[in-house]
Amino acid sequence: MSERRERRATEGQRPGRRKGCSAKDKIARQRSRGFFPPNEMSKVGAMAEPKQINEIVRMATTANLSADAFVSTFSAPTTDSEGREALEITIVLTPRSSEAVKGDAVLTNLVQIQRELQNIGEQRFPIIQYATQEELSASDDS
Amino acid sequence: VTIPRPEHFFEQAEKLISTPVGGGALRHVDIRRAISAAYYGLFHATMAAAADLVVGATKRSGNHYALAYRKTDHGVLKGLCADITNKSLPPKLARLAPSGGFDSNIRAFATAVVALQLKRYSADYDPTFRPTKTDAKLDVLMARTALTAFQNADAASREAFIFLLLFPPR
Repeated sequence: MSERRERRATEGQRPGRRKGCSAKDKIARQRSRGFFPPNEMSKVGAMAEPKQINEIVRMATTANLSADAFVSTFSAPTTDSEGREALEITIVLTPRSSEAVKGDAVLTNLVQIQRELQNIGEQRFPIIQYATQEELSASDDS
Repeated sequence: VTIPRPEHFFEQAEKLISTPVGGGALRHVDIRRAISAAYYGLFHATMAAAADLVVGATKRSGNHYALAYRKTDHGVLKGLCADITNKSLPPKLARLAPSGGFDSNIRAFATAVVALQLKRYSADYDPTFRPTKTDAKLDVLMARTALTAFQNADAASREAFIFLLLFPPR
């Protein structure tokens, strides 16, 4: 074995492949961005990390609504009317951006977020709420 | 016979969240009712589609039509829709679903029904729920689109959905 091949073998790389291009590396990169291939679901567990959830929501919302409309997102565990665990996701939009949003975009956003959460093993149904920062800050005395 | 029209629920929701005459903030109860109406538009559209299929749209004044219309409750509708939104159907449903599974229109419709029903419960019963006008507005838009998806679904998917809703397999 040549010195170069021996070094690769010691480092766990297969000869003839560049570092970072293997399927394993691709999965690692996807994981770091919050995406998991479907066959990895069982390894992930039932509840996703908030960081993963936020990234899925951000990517979907900027793609389906618009990058200009998206401000931030946060999520919290909750329960539905039957006591089942659910995921309350708040998406903060820029003021007046909802005026340009179409129904197709809202439905596609929900479907995509739910599907991608399932892909990382998250079984809680996402209950999505949209708001502007002003609405979140407003007093609730009305 | 006039049965509840889905579009009237959506229009009612829009009226509830339109800016009050003279300005000022919307009342939370109006936003809550708007979210509830968005869900009920989908609910009644589904019940009418079911009764139209098994009894017939020309027999809407008959007792059998009313029976079919009232056959399903919210829990059964949500249960079926939740199963359809999962990555794979439970075996007892899979054997009765169209070959190749439900089409994307039915899956999108089912996802919207689950989401809006969950929010409807909060809007109607949870005193800590703090809905926003933005949210209610987008819920109404989504409900309208979901209804269009249901109407545009392929016939095999829509019929399978309705039969599973009315006659859940044991």
